[in-house]
Amino acid sequence: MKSLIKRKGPFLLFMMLSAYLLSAGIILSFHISPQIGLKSLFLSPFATSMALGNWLNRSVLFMISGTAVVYAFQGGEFNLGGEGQICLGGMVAVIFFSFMTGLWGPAGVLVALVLAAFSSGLLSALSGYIKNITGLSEVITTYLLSMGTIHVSRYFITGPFKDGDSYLVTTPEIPSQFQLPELLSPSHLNISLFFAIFLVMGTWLFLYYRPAGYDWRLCGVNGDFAAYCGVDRHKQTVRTLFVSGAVNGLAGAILIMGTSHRGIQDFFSGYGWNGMAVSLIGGNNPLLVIPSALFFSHLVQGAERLNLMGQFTYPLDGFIMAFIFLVVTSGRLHRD
Amino acid sequence: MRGYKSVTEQAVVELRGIGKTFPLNGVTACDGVDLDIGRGETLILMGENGAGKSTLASLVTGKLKHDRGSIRFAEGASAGMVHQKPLIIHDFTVSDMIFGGNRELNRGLFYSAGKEKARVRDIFAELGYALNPEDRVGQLAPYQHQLIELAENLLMGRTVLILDEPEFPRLSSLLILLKKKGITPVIITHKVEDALELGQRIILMKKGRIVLDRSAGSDKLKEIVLENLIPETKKKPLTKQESSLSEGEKGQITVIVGHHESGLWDEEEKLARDYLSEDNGYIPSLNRKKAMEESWSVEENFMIHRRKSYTAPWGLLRKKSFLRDGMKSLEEYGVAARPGDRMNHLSGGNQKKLLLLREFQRSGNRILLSEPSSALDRANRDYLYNLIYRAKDEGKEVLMLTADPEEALRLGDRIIPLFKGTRGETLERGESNLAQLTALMGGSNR
Repeated sequence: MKSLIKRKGPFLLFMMLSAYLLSAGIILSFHISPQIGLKSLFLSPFATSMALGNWLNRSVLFMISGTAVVYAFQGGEFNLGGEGQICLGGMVAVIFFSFMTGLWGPAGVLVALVLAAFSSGLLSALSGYIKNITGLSEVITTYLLSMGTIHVSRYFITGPFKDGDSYLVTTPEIPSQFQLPELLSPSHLNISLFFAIFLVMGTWLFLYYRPAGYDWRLCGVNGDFAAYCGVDRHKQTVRTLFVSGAVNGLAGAILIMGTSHRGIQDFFSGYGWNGMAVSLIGGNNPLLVIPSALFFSHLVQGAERLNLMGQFTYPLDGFIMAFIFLVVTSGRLHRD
Repeated sequence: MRGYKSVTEQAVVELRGIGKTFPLNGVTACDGVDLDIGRGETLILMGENGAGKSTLASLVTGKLKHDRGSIRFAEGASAGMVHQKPLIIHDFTVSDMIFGGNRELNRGLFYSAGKEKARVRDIFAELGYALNPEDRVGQLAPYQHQLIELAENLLMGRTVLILDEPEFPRLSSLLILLKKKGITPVIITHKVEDALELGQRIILMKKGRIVLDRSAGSDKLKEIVLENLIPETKKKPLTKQESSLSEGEKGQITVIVGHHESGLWDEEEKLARDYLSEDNGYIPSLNRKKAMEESWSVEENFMIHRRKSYTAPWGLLRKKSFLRDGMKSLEEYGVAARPGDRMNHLSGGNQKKLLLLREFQRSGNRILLSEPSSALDRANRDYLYNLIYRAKDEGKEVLMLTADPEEALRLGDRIIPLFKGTRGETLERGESNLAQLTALMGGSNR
């Protein structure tokens, strides 16, 4: 723990500070009234209990999708299909609930989580399987499968499952017994907060204190060495991508059950890519996903607030993400 | 020019009081080195592992920056290095490996593959080695990787070439060729015989200092060099345990001996598959990348094979109890390492020792060693031989692959010569001598 902070802490701090400075710089240069701009960027998440709750809720989702990316990177695989896997997990939950309206709440939630994890896991594991058979890189297949899934989901949302009474392009609201209990009403924050923390701690214990986690990281850090130690790399590739996809599926289901309560078109948008940024800022370390998610969702929330006020239409979070990817990929990936 | 001593007519590089301390571990690898490298002389640099040879070489080539002292080159001179294990990209072709990303060789916007290939072909022809510029680098032998780096340095016009443990066949004629081109070769080697045969001047380093500087042909040079190479060791020697097994129950040492060109590595790959299925020891020939992860800690590298056996009730690894057992044995065998150290902060010798110890402690009954003594100094070589003998006494079957017939004769109970991928008849201990074995490795006597 101490050595972890010593090794990765400075990088995390550096990323946070420079991202904040960069956004402050952009606002100061382009915003009509920089003072208000800065205030809404930095302080808006703390302004009301609703904003605070939404900030934390977004962090929760980032933690889960970030953990999915941690699994992939620690196992040496690139999972670029986060968006599609989250979408699939969410859609599976929506469809399941629409048929099982009479089910007891907790049971329905559990089954939906399992189904979502399993289906997204399979979608992602398919890329691993293709890689093993044909040698086609998972970088491209995860992405393509994800894009395909998103289009199929659009068909379901605009077609068979569309809510005719709503002005939005969306499915009907899921039955209330499946909606996760809220913690900080009226914000979206719900009990998935505890699940996310549990998931992060579990991931950390698994990767660093379980023999299977040892194998996992071995494959990520040095394939030749892993083979030498008797790890079946082909199996591990499928396993890594399955788990990474499954965690994304969980994020999708939780997004539906806790936040949107219905399958609005593109409800998953951004969570997959932001999960990648969150994982990279934390040096792909499971524990550092927590501060990294808090930081990143704060930034995204502030940027959204700026957009809402209508005075600043630049996609600030896009700038920041580009900056983060640039810094991270130029040095970080090579060193670890 | 005032204030500087001018470089003498003959010296191509002039080192004055060179010092280098690594801030990470506080090790002083070079400590006040004064050295003039004369133009065109073959300089041999010797010393045990960790004596500071590689650091000195890196300082001369500019890969590392010196803390103290000065390095001056003669007009137009520059230094390059051919590493013992050059960094390669497996999927690249030979000419891509040389030109890819090389700013000094590719000044233009595009590079013309045809012209570059011709240049590469020319330079290999000139050196007298057949190497196709279109070959994949990953499929080549280690000496060919060195050859690629050599060609790169020649194309860049380096005039001082540091060859770290060169493995080229026909090294002496290569050196003559290099000198004709006006290049000053500096050779880092452990092999005393090679050093005496090839060198015009022999430098011996110990603990970052030069302790011996003699020109070839001086009196009793071999004795003096050997005497200086004997390391001062505080480590307690391995005592041969009294074995409870009788002669018949003891294990055997089998040695497969052949040149690299005869398919020694193919043989290793075939054997390795079999050995890896159980908990048998295995030291691969290119062990630096394959058998350990340099960015991981000593602890993580050392417990790798036992990761499944040190588990607590909840299935979590019991690192503490492992550390108690594992680190004690490291200490016993004189490996100076703390569990939290990163593997790449250890010296090459200690890395290798740790690896040997780890593999010899595995529970399986067999051990596969592929060229385990390459790049080991004398002390560590004895350490290795002791481990091998002890394993034999414990009833283990040791199988060793080597390109060194002398080593084969010294260790092997049974010796199997290898030529062009086929194994020859098995020779029992005492059935062969050096001349015969060398001939068998060369394919004669069949």
